[in-house]
Amino acid sequence: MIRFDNYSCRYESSKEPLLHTLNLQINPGEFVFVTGPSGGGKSTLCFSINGLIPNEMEGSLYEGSVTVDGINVQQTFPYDLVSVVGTVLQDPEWQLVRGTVKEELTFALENMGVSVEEIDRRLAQVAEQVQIKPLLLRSSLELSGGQKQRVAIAACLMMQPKVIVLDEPTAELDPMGKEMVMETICELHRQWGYTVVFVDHNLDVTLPHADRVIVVANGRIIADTPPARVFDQQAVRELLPMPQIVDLSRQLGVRRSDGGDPLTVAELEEELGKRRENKAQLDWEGSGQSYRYGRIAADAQPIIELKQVRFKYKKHDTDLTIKPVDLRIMQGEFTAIIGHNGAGKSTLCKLITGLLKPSSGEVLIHGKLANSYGAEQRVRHVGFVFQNPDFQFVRRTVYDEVAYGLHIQRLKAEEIDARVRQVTKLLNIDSYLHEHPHFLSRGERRRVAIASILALEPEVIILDEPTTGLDSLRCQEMMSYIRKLWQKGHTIILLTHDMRVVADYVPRTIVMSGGHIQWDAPTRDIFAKKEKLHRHQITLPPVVELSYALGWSEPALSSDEFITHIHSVEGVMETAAEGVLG
Amino acid sequence: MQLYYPSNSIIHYMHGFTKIMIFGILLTLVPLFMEQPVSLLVLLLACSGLFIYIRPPKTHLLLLIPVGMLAVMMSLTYFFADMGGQVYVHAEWGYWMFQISSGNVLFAITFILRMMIWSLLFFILLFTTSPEDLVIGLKRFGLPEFLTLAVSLALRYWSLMIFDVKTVMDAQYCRGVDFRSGGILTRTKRFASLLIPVLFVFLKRFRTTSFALTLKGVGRKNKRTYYYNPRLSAIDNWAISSAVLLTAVWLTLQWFYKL
Repeated sequence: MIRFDNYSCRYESSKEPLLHTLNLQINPGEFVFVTGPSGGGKSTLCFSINGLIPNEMEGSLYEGSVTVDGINVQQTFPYDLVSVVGTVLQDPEWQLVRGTVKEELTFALENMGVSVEEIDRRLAQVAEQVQIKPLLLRSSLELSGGQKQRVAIAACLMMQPKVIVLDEPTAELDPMGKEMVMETICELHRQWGYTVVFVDHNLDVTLPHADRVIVVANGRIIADTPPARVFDQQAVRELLPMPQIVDLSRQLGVRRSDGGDPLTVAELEEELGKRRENKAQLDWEGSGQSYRYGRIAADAQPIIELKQVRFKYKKHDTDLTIKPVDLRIMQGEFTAIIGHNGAGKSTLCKLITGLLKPSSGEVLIHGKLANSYGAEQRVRHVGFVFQNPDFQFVRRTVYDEVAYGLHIQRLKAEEIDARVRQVTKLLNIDSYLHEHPHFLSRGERRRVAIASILALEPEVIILDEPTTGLDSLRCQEMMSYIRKLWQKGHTIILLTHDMRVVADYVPRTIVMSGGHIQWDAPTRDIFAKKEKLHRHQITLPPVVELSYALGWSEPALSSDEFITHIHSVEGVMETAAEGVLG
Repeated sequence: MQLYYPSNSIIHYMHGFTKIMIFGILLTLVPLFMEQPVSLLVLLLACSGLFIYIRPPKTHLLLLIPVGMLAVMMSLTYFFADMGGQVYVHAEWGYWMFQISSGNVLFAITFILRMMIWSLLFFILLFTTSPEDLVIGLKRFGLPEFLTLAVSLALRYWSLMIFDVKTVMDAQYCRGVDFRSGGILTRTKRFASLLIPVLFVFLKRFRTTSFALTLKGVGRKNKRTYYYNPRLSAIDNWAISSAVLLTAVWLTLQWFYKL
């Protein structure tokens, strides 16, 4: 279906190719998962299939050829390819170009000059395939992220393509949105036989669904194998952190009967079940949380307090966006705020940072009303790092960018220089001081954004989705930087949808739903709520699910905890067996 | 926020072409030929009647407040010029001059009335016409495809762009940039600093949209079909005829009686 023959491409202005010479064949009906580190060439691969390279990317040069269903892509304009290759882009909002869902679906066919009767026929078919009939008359602005991506998928199906290319379609979605998109794609692949090329970083979610995995790094294909065999290759293990289930399987020495890695909780549970007939013997009461709480001094003072805070965006709104909320954040705490989109997480943090004023109630910083601090004073107490760092950058170099907030505070040049160098070194961006912040990679841009807030030395740092869109390795790096800040004494509040990050790093978790705090407890207690969390559209990390599948009364939060426990239980059982035999 | 809201008024049922013709052209031109404030006031009342008839939601009604404030503030500029008539107050500060005279008051009132009429007509058009109908209406005037596409994209993205600008402002506020305090020069400088992030954010957004448009066949040189292409109904014919007739009658009366 798709064939790369000695294909390579690069920008005219650059000597280093975006893709080195590659030969690749993707067969009809395959679900191919393309992954690898950011900037490795995954999107270039996608854009070479749908013809955006070289036709829409100015200055891109290529050698060799890519053919899709027998059509030479590079010699065909992308708009003539749309009936062969359908594309879904990363940004759910800005790729929808029409006002309503129905208009969005019919737009491409109108441009192709297809008759109204044919459009009607395809509309009925696609609405059925993707199950978006109830959405047809709704405005694109009213849809959730997951629904928008589903509409984008439906829009490309209207052209009846043979191949669907998806370039990180779930990167900006919450867990429910991710699930919705994955479900739709898997259904299209299984039931309707579409060839799918799916680019993503989330190995935990995507790996079990794929027929084949292609790992792309530095413009080369590093691996092209079945999903269960991908981590057999040393080069892949060096580049990509393993998904949690594969990591656990490998540490436990568990393999599937076909020799591959188990990819889902069910598969690993089955293999473990074969090893241990009596799962109840693995039960565990949990531990490990106390050392994390031990870091907070016993006499720690509350740094942020919310007393009966209510908020609504418009005076005449009947529903409150934030229902009466009482919250206390102590100095030196590391807290995650989780919940589905629209639960009130961002609004709550905007109230803390002073971007919004409560309709009633009090927000206190160090026991003083937050409103009594001016913008310049407040940043010394609370810093807020936005999800998209591009919103923040106003200067031409990383150095000036980090120094910008300090200039506003009218600090002396020597102090500004010292602080800039200190925070850039801490976050490992000191080698980019003279680079333009907008031209760095996504992970580096995020670190510059954090550094520019950190330089102001706020006591509390609020981070909005700091790991979204980062590959697994960059995600681990980012979290270790954040943990470093916490260990240096900053109070950290993390807004995130990534439950694995919460389980691995954060001791206290607040669950928000419908504008109020549903639960506020140690992370282990939160994940002990199992099904109750599903009702609030929160998915459990694989290791937690596995703990419950094995019948444990308390979940392990990280791979290390899980392995330690399994080994300790095995030790106990072996000792007991020896005792019985002896 | 979406300006269009569905309802069951007759204006909602009219074709986009009809509404652009009546509210965007004919009734918009009429105030330019009105010299007497009383005539403008009558037209304003008529437009207000139509505005109430379409029953806009509360959020939409509130849009009249900034528009009204803008009209009043802009009309104040007439008091810094000599528009003739009887002078009641006159003061001079070097280059600047402030004067309240019958001429200034007349010009200011006329200006406010015209602004309010145009705003109401504009709101009636946008509140009752979906972006799709608006584009179909413009297309019927013979506007080229790229122009109608540009209008539909502007209608699709304007609220998202405002949201992005707001987020950039919030991000700067979190770094200590206060847009609510300081002198005019300081505030201007602070607002100017928003341009760079806004520009970069929009460039990235528009790149996505440009790819999306290409991948949806925009730019392909062939005859386009229109899946949604409503025809002018009897209501439209009746409304356009009435509006043309009323405009003609008004212009005739104006010609003779200088209303």
